[in-house]
Parts: sequence; C-alpha cells; structure tokens
Amino acid sequence: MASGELLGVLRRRASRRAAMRGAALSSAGLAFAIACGSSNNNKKAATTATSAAPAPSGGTPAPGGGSAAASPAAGSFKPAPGGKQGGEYRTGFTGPWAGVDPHNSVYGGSGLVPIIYNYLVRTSTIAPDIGILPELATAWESAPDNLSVTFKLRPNAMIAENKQNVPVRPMDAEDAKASFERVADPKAASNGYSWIHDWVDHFEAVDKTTFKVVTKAPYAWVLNNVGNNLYSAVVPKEWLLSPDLKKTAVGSGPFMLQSLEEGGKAIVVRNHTYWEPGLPLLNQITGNSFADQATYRTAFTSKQIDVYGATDVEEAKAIAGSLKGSQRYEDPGFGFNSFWMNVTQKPWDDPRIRKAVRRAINPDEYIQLIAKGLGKQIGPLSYAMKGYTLPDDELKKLMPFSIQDAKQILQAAGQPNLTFKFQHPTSSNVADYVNIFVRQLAAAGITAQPEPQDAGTWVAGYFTNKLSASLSLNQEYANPDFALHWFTTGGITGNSHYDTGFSDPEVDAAVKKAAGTIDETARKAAYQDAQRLIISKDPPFWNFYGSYVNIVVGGNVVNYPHGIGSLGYYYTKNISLAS
Amino acid sequence: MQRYILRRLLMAALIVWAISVVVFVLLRVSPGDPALLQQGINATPEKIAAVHKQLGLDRPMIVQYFDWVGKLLHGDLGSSVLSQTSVTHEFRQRFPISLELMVLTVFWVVVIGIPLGMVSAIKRNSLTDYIARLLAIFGLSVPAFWVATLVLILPAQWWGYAPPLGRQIALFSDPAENLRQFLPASLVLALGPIAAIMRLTRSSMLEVLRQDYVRTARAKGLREQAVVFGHVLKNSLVPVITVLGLLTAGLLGGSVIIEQIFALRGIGQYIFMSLLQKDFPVAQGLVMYTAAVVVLINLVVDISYAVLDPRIRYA
Repeated sequence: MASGELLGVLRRRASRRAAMRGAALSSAGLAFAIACGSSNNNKKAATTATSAAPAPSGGTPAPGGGSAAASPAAGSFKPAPGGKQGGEYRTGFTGPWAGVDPHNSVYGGSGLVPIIYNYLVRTSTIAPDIGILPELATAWESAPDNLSVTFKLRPNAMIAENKQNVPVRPMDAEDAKASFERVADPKAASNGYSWIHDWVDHFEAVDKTTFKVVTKAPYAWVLNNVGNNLYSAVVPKEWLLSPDLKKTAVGSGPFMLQSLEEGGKAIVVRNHTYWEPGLPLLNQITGNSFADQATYRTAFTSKQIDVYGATDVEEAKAIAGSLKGSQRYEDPGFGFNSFWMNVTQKPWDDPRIRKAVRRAINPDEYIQLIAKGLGKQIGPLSYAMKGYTLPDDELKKLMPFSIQDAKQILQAAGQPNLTFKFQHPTSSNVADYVNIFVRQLAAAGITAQPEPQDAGTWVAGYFTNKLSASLSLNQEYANPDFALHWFTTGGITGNSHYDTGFSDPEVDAAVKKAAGTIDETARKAAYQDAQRLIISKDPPFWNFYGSYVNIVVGGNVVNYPHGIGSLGYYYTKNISLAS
Repeated sequence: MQRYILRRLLMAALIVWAISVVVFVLLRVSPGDPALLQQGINATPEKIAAVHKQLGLDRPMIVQYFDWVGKLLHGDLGSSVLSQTSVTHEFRQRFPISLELMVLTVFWVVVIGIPLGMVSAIKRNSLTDYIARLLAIFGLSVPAFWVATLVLILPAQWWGYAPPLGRQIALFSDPAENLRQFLPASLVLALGPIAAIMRLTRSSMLEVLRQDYVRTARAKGLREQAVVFGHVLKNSLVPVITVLGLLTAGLLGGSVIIEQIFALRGIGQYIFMSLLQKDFPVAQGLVMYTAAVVVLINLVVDISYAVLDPRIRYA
C-alpha cells in the first residue's frame, strides 16, 4: 500500500488504525518496495485446502519504460526465473520504523518483519489466482469436520545466524505454537488476537514437524490468518522471551536485520543459510525513513532509491514519464476513507440521520479530486477483496448519492437543518477530504463543523470512543471477516475500542455465519448477503471509496512484485538488479 | 565583571529549571497517551497499564519529575517510548549533524550577511545597495521551507541531481560528500538570517558613519579602509552580535524543518518526530537541550557586549 494513501498520519500521523497499524501496512508496502494492500487470503486459503504449493501464476512485471502504462490488474505476478545475484536494493517511505515486533509491527517495521521471519503459508485476497504459497509449511490438511488444520513443517528452515544467542537450529512446531500463543495473549496487543480469541480452541505441536490449529467451530479464514504478515510470523521460541524482541529480529526468513536506526535507515542483509536454494537474490536491502514526501520523491528522482510510492496516479505518471526505463504500477489496494459515527451520541443514534449523511456524499468527487480518477466506490468491503464485494451497479443502488433523498430523510427525521461536529486528525491529506465532505453536506443543508485534532489527541479519543464523529483515512483488513467487524458488536477490535457502539444481532449472526461457511461459493454469497444486511441497517461507518497504490520502480529493478497485495513481501527474495 | 557573570549564570540556571518544569508538565497534561501510541489499537487496558508502569506514568507527577531530573543530572535522558532506544545514545549520534548544520549556517551568515551590509552602507543609494536590499527583502519574506523544497525538487526534476538523502556522511570520512550534503541545507537555512544581519549591519553602520569621531578620523587623513574597519565596523557590531546570537538560537528551531526536508538525522528531526508521537522522554530531553543552548548563547552574547564596548557596564 502506498505511503501516499495512508501515511497521512505521520506525515500524516494518524488515521484511526492508520496511526497504528494501517499506516504500518502502507508504509510497509513501501518500506521494502512491495506494492501491497493489507493482508491476504484467497479462495483456496479459505477452503482449508489440502496439500501444498500451487505454483504462482500470472505474467511477469511489465517494464513500462518512461511512459509505462499500467492497468490495475491483480494477481498476475510471477517472478521470472533466475536473476542476477547480489547488489543493494534501496527503498524508502515516510514515517518512523517503530520497532520490529513480529506480532505487533507498525509503520515501517511492518515492512521488515515479513522478510526476516517466515510464516506457515502466504496468501493474498488481492491475488486469489496465486493460491496458497507454502513457506514453513510444506503441506496442510483440513480435518473432515473442518475443526482443525494440520500443517507439515519443512525440516530444514534454519534459524539465521545471530548475535542474540538464539540457537541455530531448524524451526519447528514448538516455535509455531509459542508464536501463536503469544498472539493469543492479550498482553501482546496483537491484531491477531481477535480471530484466535473468537475461533481458536488451541494450538498443538504434535511433533517436531507437525503443527495443528484446532478451532471451536468451522472457520474459513484459518489459512488466511496464519499467513498474515502483521501477526503470524513464526518466531524462535527462545527469541520470544527476549526483551529485545521489538528492537531487533532473529528469524528464518530470507533476510537478516543488520541495523535499524529510528528516523534513519534499516539494513537487512542476505540470510546465507536460507532454506530455499539460490535465494534471496539481493545481498542487501536498505530502507530509508523519510519524514517528508518531497524528500522521498526527490530521493527517487535523483536515483538514490529504487522505488517510490506516489501520492496519486498523476504524480506517478509524471515521474515515470521523466525517468527513462522506469516501471509504473497501479495496484489494487485496501486503503479507503471513512466517516465514523458514535451511535451513543446524538444525532447518530438515529439511523435516518446516518442514512441522510450517506446520501449526501458523492464518492465520485473524492475519486476525481483526491485519487485523480483512480479509485472505486466501495461498500462495507473493499473492491480489492475479490469475489466478496457487492457488484458495482448494486452498490450504487444500495448506497446512492442523492441530495434530494438526503433532504427528505432529514425532513422526516425532524432535522432539516442538521448541524454536527466531527473530529479529524490534522494531516494534509485528511484536510482534503474534510473540505469536500463539508461542502457536499452543505449542499444537502447539513452544517458539518470540523474539529481538527493532533494525532495523539485524536487517536486517544478514537480509542476510548470519545469522539462524536470522525473522518479519517483507513485501511481494509486481512479478510472479509476482519473488515466486517466494523459493523459487529464490540467493533473492529472486538473489545469495544474504536467502537461506534453499533450493535445488531442480525448483523453479528450474518458475519459469523459467513466466516463459518467453508464452501467458497456459498461463503462469497454469505458475505454479500451480510453486506446487504449491513447497508440496510444504515450503519455508523461509511467507506467512501477505495484507492489504488501507485508505484514507480527504477529501470534497474527486476522482478518487482506487484498487483498481489502484501504477498509481495513473499517475493522480495526474487527481486534482483539488472546491473 | 565576575559578579555579573556569576549572576547571569545563576539566572541561567533558574531559567533552565523553570523550563524543565514547564516542559515536563505541558507534555503530561497535553492530550494523548504514549502507551496507546506505542501499543496500538488492540492494546488491552491491562497492557496499557503495564506500559504505564514500565514508563513510570503510574506514579505521582512530582515523583516522576524528580526522577527525571535526577537522571538528567547524571546525563541519562531515558529511553524512547516508541523505539525503546536510549535518548542519550541517539542524541550523541545526532548532535554532530545539527551542530555542523548550525556552524555552517552561522558561517554563511557572517561571511555573507555582514560584508553585504557593509557594502550596502558604504555605497548607500547605489545600484549595489539597491540590489543588496532587494535580496534582503527576498530572504526575509520567502519561507525557508518553501525554498528548501524547491532547492531539493527542482534540480532533481531537471537534472536528476540531489544532495545525498537519508545517508549520513561523516565530515572527516568524506569531506567533499559531506559538504555536498550540508551545503544546500545550510545555505537555505542561512537565507533569512543573512538578510536580517545584512540589513542590521547596514543600518548600524550608517548610524556610526554619521558620528563625529568618524568625521574626525577622516579629517585626520586616515585611509577609508582604516576608518571603516578600525572605527566604524567595530562600533557597529554590538547590535549585530546581539541579533546574531538570537538568530543562532533561533536556528535550532528553524533547523527542525530543514532537517526534515534534507533528511538530515539531526536533533531537529528527532524533536519533530518525538513531539508528533508523544514520545515524551525524547521530547522533554531534547527541549531541555534546546533551552540550555539558547540560554548559553544568550549568556555568551551578554558577555561579549563588554568585550566589544567597554563603555557598557553592568550593575
């Protein structure tokens, strides 16, 4: 995910999760130059599939030259075989590193964790055609009753040589068990907590190379969740006990963390004992944390870094046009902007008011003015969650833009001259949204009064549900189950933080039913039904539009993974340099 | 003189102490919870409480204050809430960068601003004077951050050139590359101060040039060079030195933005990030450092008065 989309928080410093995890995802995408959305999953991931290793499908990265034309196609990446060994690949992003906690990484750190640690498998919702990619697990099998998934681990994934006194030995099932049990511990404050808490009965190390996830009920997203970059890294059990877990890293991934300077560089180097023969190809990746987007851009245009996440498609085109041999990609992403309403406060307890506000919003204007035409109207789920989203035409019917409707609804609700205050973080890109938002509502006779807040104040208010309403940039999540938790009781985190206060037993049941539906076709239908139900309830959380990731890559870079969301991290080992 | 210096030192200590209280209190009463920023949105209340305990935030504020001051006096600025790295360690790494930027900037201010002001005063109402004054108005009216952005972006856009970004080059390991990195930043940072010092030098010199003793010096047959450097310049410099001191102190603030734009990992960038992230061990330590430097510079300026102008006596 491009920094331009979400990093509004730090440069931008905070957009709800953006301040914390959302930004992490976006910056991460850039941190190590993987054009990623948030996390993954795919049709096979969800189906508790049997065995392993479908080969990645798709074409090669399309070098676009200076005027590279790039279409927002997903799932078409397949690294070209071979590639020159060696060299330093230089990347950048805006924001801080903020450590490398393997299960709680944020900001730039979340771009380091997925290439230092291994995961059981890797998947991508954005690129369902790729299938499930084996990593530590070479095979997996779902029980006939769909109540457990058993993973067979490779015996040769050695822990990288290190100075932290972690024994160099093969990663095993005990490491996986200890890792997931840490995620399950609320003290770890990991995003992975909620799915484990809701669905997992226990984790089991059957023997050295056999690991088992036992669920309380059939759950479709086990493989997706264990392949999540943000919270499912498999960490040596000895290292999990270290007080330095956040400061440095010891894993079995293709790269090893050599140094990490907050506000400066992070350097990862080739893991010479990596289990996959001949990989990784790069000797070193140097990530630069820039505080300013202009500096970041200049570093790319002066060829001091090899990849750049543009703020929008026009900037990407301009830069690609001026740099001979550069490659430009328009990748689907999970970023979106949203309006959050606290239903425990007036006027948001009245669903008619929520509906009227939604009717008064024209997503196309945001797409044209902010995304420069490259964006899509979305409903409860992002367009990038292939197969699970509602068809475009249906979405427009269910969530129409109609000032006339808005006025009539307000009249019926006895609030023809509705006035409300809303809070938002002070970052330049959010300010753009605020201006459009206020103007659009004014056209419907609604006076929306913005209350800008610094990131710290805003996040604290958001966390404790003290905001009355909030406009912010946001990040879609790993899978439809996670994303739809915005609308279930307890909210996105499940523990009533950032919670609108909205609670509807029908919605809760619909989301749970969909997550428990193993058959892929039936599951997709269940998620679409759940979304229709959610929209009909006039929920207090509206997504305006979904954005794309605009990346420009230097001509020297070969095998830049694109169009596959965060699965791009998996292919970092295949990146090479032409010279 | 000694009594004066002693009194100024005591006053400086008092000011630094007062600043320490203000900084400490303000950072704690301002909204936002560093534990929340550190732990993220899924943090449980138990986790937040644990972090509060770890950071000592569960103790009374007065206890926290004295604990902090105690450590500060021993040179321990604590650890960053976000990255958990030692603030003192980071400070030591970043200080040379900010110092070099400040020294280079002051260098440009002195070698460009003062001579330009002198020429402008001596050649009053000439074309040279008009051009110098025009440049000064430009320097004063254009924001440094805007110039910095242009200086960075345009050469990169036109010629693919930019100073080294994101990597720190030590002065003694590669002086040429180091200069390439610091030159644009220091010149941009110096733009405003050069203009201010130029105008001040000009007006101060014009005032001194009208004095009787200057006329006497010329009547005695002294060469113009001797009159300007021997009599006019020295007496014109008292207000210039004062303002130069204040500008130098101000550079600490100004460099925050410039360090951001030119990706120099100095103290300014560190302060900026820490304030945005509510990383108060970093913020309060660095604000204290800034305050101490400002107080120290003012002290040096005050003492320099007496050296430059013996007529100045302090009660």
